[in-house]
Amino acid sequence: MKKTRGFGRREFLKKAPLALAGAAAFPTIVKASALGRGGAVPPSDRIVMAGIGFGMQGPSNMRAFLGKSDVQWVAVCDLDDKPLGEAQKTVNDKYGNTDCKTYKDYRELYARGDLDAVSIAVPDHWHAILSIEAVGAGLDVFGEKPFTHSLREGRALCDAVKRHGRVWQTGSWQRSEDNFHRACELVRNGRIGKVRRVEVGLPSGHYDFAGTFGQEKIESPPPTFDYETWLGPAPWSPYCVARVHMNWRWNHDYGGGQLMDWVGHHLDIAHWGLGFDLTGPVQVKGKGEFPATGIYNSATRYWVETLYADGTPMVLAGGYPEIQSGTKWIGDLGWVWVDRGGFESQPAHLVHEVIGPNETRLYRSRDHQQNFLDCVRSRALTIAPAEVAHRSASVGHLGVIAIETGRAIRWDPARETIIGDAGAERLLARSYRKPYQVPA
Amino acid sequence: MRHHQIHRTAPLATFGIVLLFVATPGGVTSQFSILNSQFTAAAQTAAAQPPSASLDQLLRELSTYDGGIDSAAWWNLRDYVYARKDDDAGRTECEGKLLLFVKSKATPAARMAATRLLRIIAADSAVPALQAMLADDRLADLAIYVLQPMPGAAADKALLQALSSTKGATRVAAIAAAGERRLSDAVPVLAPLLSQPNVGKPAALALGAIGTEAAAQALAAAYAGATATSKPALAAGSMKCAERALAAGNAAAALGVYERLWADRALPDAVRTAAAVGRIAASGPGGAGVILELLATSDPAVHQAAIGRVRDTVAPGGVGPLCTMLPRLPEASQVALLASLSGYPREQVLPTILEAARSNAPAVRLAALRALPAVGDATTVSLLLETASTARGPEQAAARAALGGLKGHAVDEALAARLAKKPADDEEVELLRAIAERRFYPARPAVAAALQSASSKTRLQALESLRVIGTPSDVPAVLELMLKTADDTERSGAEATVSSLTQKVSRADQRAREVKARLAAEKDPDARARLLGLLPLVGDASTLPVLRAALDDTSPDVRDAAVRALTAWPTHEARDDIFRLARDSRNETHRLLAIHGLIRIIGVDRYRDPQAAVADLRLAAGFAWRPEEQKLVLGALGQFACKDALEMATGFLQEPEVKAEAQAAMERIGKALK
Repeated sequence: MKKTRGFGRREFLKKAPLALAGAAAFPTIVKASALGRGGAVPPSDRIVMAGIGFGMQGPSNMRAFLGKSDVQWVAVCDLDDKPLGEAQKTVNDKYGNTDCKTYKDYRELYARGDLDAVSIAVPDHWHAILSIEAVGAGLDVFGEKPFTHSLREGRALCDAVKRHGRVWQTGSWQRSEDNFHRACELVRNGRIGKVRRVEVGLPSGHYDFAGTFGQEKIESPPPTFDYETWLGPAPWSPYCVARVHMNWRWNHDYGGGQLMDWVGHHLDIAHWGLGFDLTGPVQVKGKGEFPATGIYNSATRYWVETLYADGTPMVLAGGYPEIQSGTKWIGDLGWVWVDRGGFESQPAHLVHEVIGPNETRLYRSRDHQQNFLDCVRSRALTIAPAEVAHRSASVGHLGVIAIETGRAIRWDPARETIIGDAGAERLLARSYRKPYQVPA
Repeated sequence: MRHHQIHRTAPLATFGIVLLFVATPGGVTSQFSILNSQFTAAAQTAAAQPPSASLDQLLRELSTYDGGIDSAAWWNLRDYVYARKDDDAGRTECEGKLLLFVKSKATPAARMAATRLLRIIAADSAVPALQAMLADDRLADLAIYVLQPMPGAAADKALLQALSSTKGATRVAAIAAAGERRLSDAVPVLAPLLSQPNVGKPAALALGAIGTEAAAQALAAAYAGATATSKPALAAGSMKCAERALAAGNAAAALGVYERLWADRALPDAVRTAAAVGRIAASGPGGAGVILELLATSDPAVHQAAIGRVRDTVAPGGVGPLCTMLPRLPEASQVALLASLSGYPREQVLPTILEAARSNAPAVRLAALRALPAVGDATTVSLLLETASTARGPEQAAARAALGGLKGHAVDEALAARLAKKPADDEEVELLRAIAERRFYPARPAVAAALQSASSKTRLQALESLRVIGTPSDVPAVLELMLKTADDTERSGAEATVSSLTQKVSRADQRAREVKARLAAEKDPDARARLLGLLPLVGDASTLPVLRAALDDTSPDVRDAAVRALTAWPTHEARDDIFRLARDSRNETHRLLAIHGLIRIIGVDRYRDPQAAVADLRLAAGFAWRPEEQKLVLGALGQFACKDALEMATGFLQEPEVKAEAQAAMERIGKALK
């Protein structure tokens, strides 16, 4: 599905006879899938994709796309040779060839000219730069949550997506899961009456994804890993194993702890059920608990209270057992709770209710990656588009700011400004290390 | 708000917790609430007491910080500063000393740590020192880190000066910071930089971020004489200015920018495409015309961008020309436009979409079908039924989804009316499916009647649809089908339907009423065996006596069915029956079924006391003579985190065939016990 200009079908047909004459002398076995047989989409109609970032979520995103018949994955990009090589092998094994190209510099990847879309799964502090440059290069993007590393970056990215007319899907895949969809439809269709309170339970602590906790001895980075570029716009810090790969998220220079990691899931679902996709709270306050030592400085236990313009209060908490993991809407007529492993309601029969076609129906996607691909073709909004992702992440950013300042934040969601608190306002953006700059 | 000191006091609190628990073994809940309040009290106390060391001492301790694990000095400093950040005198002291520290010979990691705090507390009083730091390559990054977000005119002025006084990478950073701050006074300083290598691009982006009219003019002036290399950045900056102009109501100025960029074919395609998008947005009511103009080009990327703006731009009454144009567009563009049209009033777009649904191009047909749920109506039913019953793959799925999603009760009536006309089998199946999807309960009798269809496909679909819209009164008809059919698929379908329908009976002890009635009337052993097999699916405990009695039935088939039903029982109410079967049955298959059932039942009861669960698993293990069942026991054991479970798993380590499972169980239990 190359959308390049120049070498169109007519040009090909003019040149084809010579090519065919040459080919006749050398019989070639062409895979059936290349000819669009056996239900396969012919290569010319496939969406050409590449991926950046294969530390944790990247490989599984890529495998999901590789399983789609209408995707042709052509390249991988990472700053670390090991995951880069593994990703390349995965692609080559899938297609049975050695065509997958590797890149260390994303700018070279974007300059290829044959890509339709890119999947980006890198640490948060790189989200904005990579994504804005991707859409600026004419690419559609499957990005990860949280949307960006600061609230101001989020607005810049939303504007860039709109400016360039690109399709964006966020990795808030719960929206494509049946239980979450049904729960939100129940709430939206008034099955629990007016919502009086929302509780969003998120994980607490720091989880050792990479098995590198405690490996905080300062040393030189391995030669196979471009640490300097990995740091990118983040403030300089010396290398230690525990700082990078998967566990970066526990340090505010690169991630936002459990709060920012999960706000794009359960808070996003809360917004969806309330119809708050394009707005935000008007008040935020919070408290947090932090480690006593080590390089991880995000809250291990946190409580954030928000209030929306219509008077709906919402609590986001991690490490408080009274707030159940998942999303719970509590209304005048009952409640609905949903999590990855459960879906319950009061009254109990609500979970079995199905919303009919003549009621309010929410966007339906049964496959998050396929939804992205369908929207690449239709140019429609995905189920988790940029603005929605930005609004979910914004609540997390405001929560972090409220915890950091120790003050209640008054927020104007329409103008996206903090009211009457210049000290808090300064935390809406991040300073970039030279020579990095927010792209246009 | 709790600070990190709580972690330091946590070991003492934990000791207190253990002491209290040991002292009063009962009433765990009340102990927890007491400790919780103590924890909170400790938190409040700690928060009110900043570290007692002086700032100088804290900075000395920090000065050798290498950025690694031993960061206690950083946390102490943080607490000190945070305790004073809202107090003038305290803040001033911190600011002054941190500024000195940042310039000291402390390690880079230590100085960066101090800079993070400066970012939070620095005020105008810090600006002179920060400004001086800009001249030092070692310190410039740190200064920008603090200056860029700092509110106030003093920081503005410092950055403005830095645009001229700094060089190299620092200058680029100052330019970026000026942009981020929307520093309009920087425009005259940035404008001359646009044509300079190394700083031209950052200056263009910064001017775009500033976005004023002056910034736009500077960018436009530079663009006129720009090289191909520098044009993209200038264009990007210009477009950001245009967005600001448009938001401020100056559409003409914005349109001028976009049209200039669109006309420049030397620009990269992606930039021109963005300019095309901008043209649409800035053209106001004329945007629809721009979309048509862009769709008349042969550029697929431009088509994509234009179609992406249709819904925001084209008014409901103005969609006609797009509908007219659609069939002439390339296939990919038709697919995209159909998706956009689905958001428009039915009367405007339905004929076009219906025509597209008959296109020769599969992708176009599919896109049309996907657009129909939003705009279709009762008149669309025929086409969708035909597609659903004859197409395969994505088109069939889309037609089915459309039938289920069309809005309006007239659609329900149309479907029911079609069903009443006894259509061909394939169409009947689709009608039954759609009626269930739409939850059209008035059609339930017709759906139930389809259980007697001559077509197996229809009967199967009727069974499936009844699971959704059927009621318990349909159970007898479903039982009749289940007992008559020789087809295994129909039989299992009927079982599933009975299970669904009986769950709709509100009284749990009445759920199996119809099944019991049929059992009582049924003499045929084969039929009785099948009916007994339904009882665990229904789960009505009042039928347990029936199953127990059936264990002594004269028919071996009935006895076998009773055993299978009991061992598959979903709740612990059958635990004793299953236990007896595991212990006493002389039939090896029945004993195996019972052992499996026992293990399953123990695992199902999540709230059970773990020690009691482990005791039952010990019994189950005692019955098991094969490693397969012992593995099942070990798998279930892992759910119960207690010392007994650990002990039991340890006992299996000596058995080579199950050693791996024992180790896995021990690991799981061990983790849960931590």
